[in-house]
Amino acid sequence: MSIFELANPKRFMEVSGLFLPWIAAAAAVALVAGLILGFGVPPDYQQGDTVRIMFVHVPASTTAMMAYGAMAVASAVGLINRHPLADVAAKTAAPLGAVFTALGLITGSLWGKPMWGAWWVWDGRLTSFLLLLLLYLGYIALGSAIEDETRSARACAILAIIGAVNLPIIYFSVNWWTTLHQGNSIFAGKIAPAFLWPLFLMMGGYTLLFFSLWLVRIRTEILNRRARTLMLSRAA
Amino acid sequence: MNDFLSQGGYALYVWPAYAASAIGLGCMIVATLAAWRKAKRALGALQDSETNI
Repeated sequence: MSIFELANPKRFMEVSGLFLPWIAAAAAVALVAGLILGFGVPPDYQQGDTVRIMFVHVPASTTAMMAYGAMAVASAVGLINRHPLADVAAKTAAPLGAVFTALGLITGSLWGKPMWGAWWVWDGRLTSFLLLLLLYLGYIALGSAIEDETRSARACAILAIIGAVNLPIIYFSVNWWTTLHQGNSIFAGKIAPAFLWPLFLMMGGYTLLFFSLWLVRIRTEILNRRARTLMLSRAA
Repeated sequence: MNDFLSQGGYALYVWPAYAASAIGLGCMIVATLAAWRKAKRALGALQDSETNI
C-alpha cells in the first residue's frame, strides 16, 4: 500500500483507527517506565537532583521541534499536491506543538534558575526557542484570521515552511554562539548510561504521545468537515 | 520518603517542572479527546436525522 492511498480520508480513518490504540498504549508504557527509572537514578555529581528536570525538559523540547518539522512537511505536501488531508495534518499539529514548546520553556526556566542563577537569558538557544513558540502562535492566529479554508491553508503553509529555517538555528545555536545552555550532549556520549535510559524512554513517550494526539485531531477534523459537507448538501 | 520529596534541596524546581508538564500534557489530552467526542456526536446526530427523514 502506498502512502498516497492513505491520503483518502476514508482509508485514513480505517488505518489510523487500527494503529491509534497501540501507539497510545506504547506512549503510556514508555512514560510510566521513564518516570519510574527517572526518579530511580542517583543525583548527578554536578547538578544534583535538578538533573531529573532533564527527563521532562529535553523530551518536550525535541518533540516541539519534531512537531514543527512534521507541520512544515505536511504544509509543503499540501502546498505542492493540493491535498486537503495534508492541510488538515499541518493545521492540527500546531496547537500540540505550541504546548510542547511552552513546556520546554517552562521546565528549562525551572532548570536554569538553580543551575545558572537565572530564569532566563537572551542567548541563541533560548531566544530561537522562544521564536519557535511565536511561530506556532503566529501560525494559529493566521489560520483563524482567514476564513476561506483553502486560502487559509495556503497562507499558513508558507509561514510554516519559512519558519522551518528556525529549526537548524535552534539545534546549532549552542555551537554558534556563547551560551549558558549545555551543548548537544545526547549523541556525543556525554551522558552516563544510567541517565540515558529514562531520557530515551521519556523522549519515546513524548513522541508517541504527540503522534497519538495528532492522529486524534486529524480524525476529529475529518469528522467536522464531513458534518459541514452534510449540512451544506442538505441546505442546498 | 523525605529525601524523595526534598529532591536534594531542589524540590522547589524539580516538582514544579513535573507539575507543569503533567498539567500541560493532561489538559492537551483532555481537550483533544473532548473535541473528538463532540465531533463524533455532532456527525452522528446529523446522520441520524438524515435516515429519519
